[in-house]
Amino acid sequence: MQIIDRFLDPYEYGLLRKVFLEDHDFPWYWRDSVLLEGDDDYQLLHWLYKDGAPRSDHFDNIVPILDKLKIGALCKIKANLNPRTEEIKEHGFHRDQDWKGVKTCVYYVNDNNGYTSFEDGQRVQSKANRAVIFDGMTSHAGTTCTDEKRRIVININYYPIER
Amino acid sequence: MKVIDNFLPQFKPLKTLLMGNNFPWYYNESILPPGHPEYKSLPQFTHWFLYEHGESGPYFHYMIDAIDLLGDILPLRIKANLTMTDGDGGYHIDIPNCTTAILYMNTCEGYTKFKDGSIVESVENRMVIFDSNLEHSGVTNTDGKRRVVVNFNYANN
Repeated sequence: MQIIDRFLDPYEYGLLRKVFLEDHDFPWYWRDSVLLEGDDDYQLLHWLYKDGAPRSDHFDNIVPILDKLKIGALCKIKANLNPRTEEIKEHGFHRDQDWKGVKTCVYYVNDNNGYTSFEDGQRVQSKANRAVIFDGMTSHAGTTCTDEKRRIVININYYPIER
Repeated sequence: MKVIDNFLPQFKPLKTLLMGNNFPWYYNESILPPGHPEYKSLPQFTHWFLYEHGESGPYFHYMIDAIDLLGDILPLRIKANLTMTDGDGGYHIDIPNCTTAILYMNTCEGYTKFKDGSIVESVENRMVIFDSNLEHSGVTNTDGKRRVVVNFNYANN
């Protein structure tokens, strides 16, 4: 697992932050569950890349992240917004993809006390402009936060150039 | 104040749209603007069907049935609000000297409260219509995941 702070340079991060956090004209789509239909959780999401093509007018806004990842092929990219909860809620372990060789990158858009947890007990705190990159077959879980109104991450699944 | 249950004869298409996975919601840091005496730091998601400057959004046509049922009116502003389990939005008026109507999209423990103590429960397909000068506040639900309403402000022709 690789954790990279200050992933984007400050100018690039400022542009991304403006779109995802400040402008308030970024559309979010409600989901009545997070992992399994009928679970007790909810979140809002925004697909940026799916089924082989960009799915959002905002795809260009994340290109600076993609440029740094040495991507051979994209699988899927989505942004998740988890509204604040009274207590931090872990959403359950899962893999984004079951395809060998895929990498998962979680890019944290804002600071908050939520985190990504892994089955071996490791936790990566949500820190603005941090990226964590790990093997796509690694089970991980996202959380809500309690100290900010929302937790926003961008999940990128991709085949790296060098495998 | 007038409360009308089963307001829309064809409620399902609107419910499917607003409660579904493909309807865009836009984040707002607070329900009331900073500086409002009742300001609270409670976020909500909104979707504008009709802006105050007269521009309509891409889903405005979904509002036509409700507008027709409200009578001979001039819509001034129509927007949907989505709130989560977070509390009381604070007393306010939307636009002075017109009429406000709230259409409840889902049944939940949330409600609209008025300064005179009256309460209108969030019941699916219920419309409450009142003088827009009446201060009101939306109270979010505690039993479900979200409370969704559509707010109409209009002048009577």
